[in-house]
Amino acid sequence: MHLDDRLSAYLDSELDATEQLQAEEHLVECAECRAELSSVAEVRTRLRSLPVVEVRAGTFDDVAEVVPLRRARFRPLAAAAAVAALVVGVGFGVAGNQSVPLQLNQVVEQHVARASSDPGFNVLQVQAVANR
Amino acid sequence: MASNEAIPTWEQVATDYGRVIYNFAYRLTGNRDDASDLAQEVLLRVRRGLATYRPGSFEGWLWRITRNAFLDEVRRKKRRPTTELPDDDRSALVISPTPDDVLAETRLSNEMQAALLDLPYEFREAVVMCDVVGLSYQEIADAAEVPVGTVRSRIHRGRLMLRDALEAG
Repeated sequence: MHLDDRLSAYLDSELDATEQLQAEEHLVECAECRAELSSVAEVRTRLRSLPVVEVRAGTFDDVAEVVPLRRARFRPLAAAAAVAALVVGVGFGVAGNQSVPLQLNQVVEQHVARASSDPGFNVLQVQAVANR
Repeated sequence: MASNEAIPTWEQVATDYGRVIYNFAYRLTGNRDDASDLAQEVLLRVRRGLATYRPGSFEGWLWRITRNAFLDEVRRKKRRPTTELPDDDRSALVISPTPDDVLAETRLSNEMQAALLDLPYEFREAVVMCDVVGLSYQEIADAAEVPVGTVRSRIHRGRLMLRDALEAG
């Protein structure tokens, strides 16, 4: 019975005290495990000697620019609908309606919601309504 | 980490872990562009995820995000057959290295990188997390969501496969 994956765990100090003692005792007796330990240790050393690759400057700049957090993707349709809805709201405002702020919010939300959920939603129609 | 750990900002994560995430990605993919894309995606996920992160094993959480981002990227590329999978992507490494690559990589490390890219993903991930990132077996187990015994086996078999590949090469 050979040590197998306990050899790597031995090199990585991942064996408990009992296992480590058993492994050391086995290594004294077993040339095959000593040879495997030696070859695995060499691979491990080469892996750990791989050069550190430096991050290119500005790699994380894009991460900083994504706002707001939960809308990573810009949605032009929703944005256009929101602008159109704003025009509608302003129209109400000119008419002298005192509850314009509330209505404005509702209209914006409705249009954004519809534009988001309905790919066929025609922004031009909204704008046409807004311009009436 | 203890439960009273201070939750870092994403900028702190970028400063403290950006380079090691990038190196993890580079050793898994073998080229700088894919490594940059992956590191950016990880930081984006960290930035979104920190809002709901609850103190626990920050390293485990971070590396789980990192490996999931990598696996998502592999799946995304599988859906686009014109794009090579990371396993096949040797050309960027060998044929057209950038001046930085030429300076940074020796022939030995190129051979090792090529051998790494030939490893099945689970073994490559375990070996890179252990020997490049420096995670403990328990931290790798947390990140990969497998038992510690599986990690131990993957690391050893991965190293043996690398040894055989390097001897054959």
